[in-house]
Amino acid sequence: MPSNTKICIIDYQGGGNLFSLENSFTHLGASTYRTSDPDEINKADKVIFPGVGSFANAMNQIHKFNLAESIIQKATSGVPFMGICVGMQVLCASSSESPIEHGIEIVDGLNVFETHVRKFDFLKIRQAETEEKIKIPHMGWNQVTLPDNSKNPLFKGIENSSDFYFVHSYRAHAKDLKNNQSVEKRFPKLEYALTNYIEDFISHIWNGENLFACQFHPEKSSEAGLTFLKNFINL
Amino acid sequence: MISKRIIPCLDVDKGQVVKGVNFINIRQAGDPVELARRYYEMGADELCFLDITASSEDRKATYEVIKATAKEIFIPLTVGGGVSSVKDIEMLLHSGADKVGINSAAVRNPELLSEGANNFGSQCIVLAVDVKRYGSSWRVYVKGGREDTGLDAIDWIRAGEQRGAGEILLTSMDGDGSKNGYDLDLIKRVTELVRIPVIASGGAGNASHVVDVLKAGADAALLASILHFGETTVQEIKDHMKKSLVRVRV
Repeated sequence: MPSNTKICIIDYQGGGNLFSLENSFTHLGASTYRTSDPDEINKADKVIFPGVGSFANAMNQIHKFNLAESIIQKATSGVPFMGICVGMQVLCASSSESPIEHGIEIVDGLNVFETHVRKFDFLKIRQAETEEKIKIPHMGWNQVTLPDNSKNPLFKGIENSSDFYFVHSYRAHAKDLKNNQSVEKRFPKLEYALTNYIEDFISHIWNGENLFACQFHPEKSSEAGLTFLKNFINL
Repeated sequence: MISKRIIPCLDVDKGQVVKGVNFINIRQAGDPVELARRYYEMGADELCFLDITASSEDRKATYEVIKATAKEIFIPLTVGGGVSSVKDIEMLLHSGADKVGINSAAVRNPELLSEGANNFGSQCIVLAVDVKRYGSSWRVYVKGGREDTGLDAIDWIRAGEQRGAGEILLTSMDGDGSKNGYDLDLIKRVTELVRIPVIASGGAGNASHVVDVLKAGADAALLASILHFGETTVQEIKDHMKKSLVRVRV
């Protein structure tokens, strides 16, 4: 049954590239379709919410196509749903990534996850610097560590703390999700994975059911990434 | 902690991978799609594809080869060679490139870096710089190493970062294909200066050279000759990195 399901890729036309994502699914034998139509999203059986461009730009495009409500609805509907990179960030409450011309410091997100997205902390960067400069963006391969005994279905067959590919300058901070009562109330089974770059940040969120989000790019993460996507296809 | 990256580089001329020494004496090294797949399977962290002819008549063929290459690999792909406009960047991204290397055109028109970064994000704009040593400094060359711009490499790289380049691909022309090791002084100078990742290129002769340049501060090492001609493998290099305590994806 799962292999017959078509995967809906939300295309909010942010100028980004969906080539690799579609190519990975094709390689794994799954078919995909792109849409920027809220009705199509409402009907979808499995959804990928990719990340393209900056947070503020992504939010603008989402509002332009009237997608916010459908995305929030779908993400929490029980249907397999995954946000990737900026797609994950936009599911959070807010971000400090906004072009200066917006004249605002914080841009609101869709607030599915009540955590905030902020730039890597330069003060901490300086303190952490020993011999080598710490680079922004965080670009390259880094380890994703799940809680012990995690049952996260997307990591089935992947050794814990495997490397995935990242490219980003903003990240969700773990402390916002820890002991956060409203998050616990909304998603009592929520768990997240951490990656260390200057500090521990949230590289993956799972609501304990069918909602997932990852900061890394599974479609660029070699065999581990393909296994991760295959697990999503098989949900 | 983040891993250091190993990036095989395919110099492609009219659909074939080629490799020269000091930018000349070019010899054939195989089919790009097949080599790309092989390096992917060997555990390469990224792949770089440089279209070294990049004349307008070969351009269309290049997009097709890039598409075919991008379909085979599930790691990031950087493509460079003859990129001179926002439209070129867009065409390459749509052909499956994740990042685009800009070299001569950036010297001619530094605005291209900021326009590229504003349109597609800094993360996909790689400033490719070919340099030759002059005493204790380095000078920037363009047009595949044929033209001396007179620019000081350090000044130029700093300007490129300010304009929005997200990564530097730094090639020592003195080292290119020589197998005598990377220019470590150059890498040290540049990595002390910029806050974006630096890929070292030119001079790798063995796995120890790779470890040396990564320890000198490079975030990634670009490799061509020694991989194409089977003198070492990605795995062998990574084993050596691990042994030398350089964090690496295995």
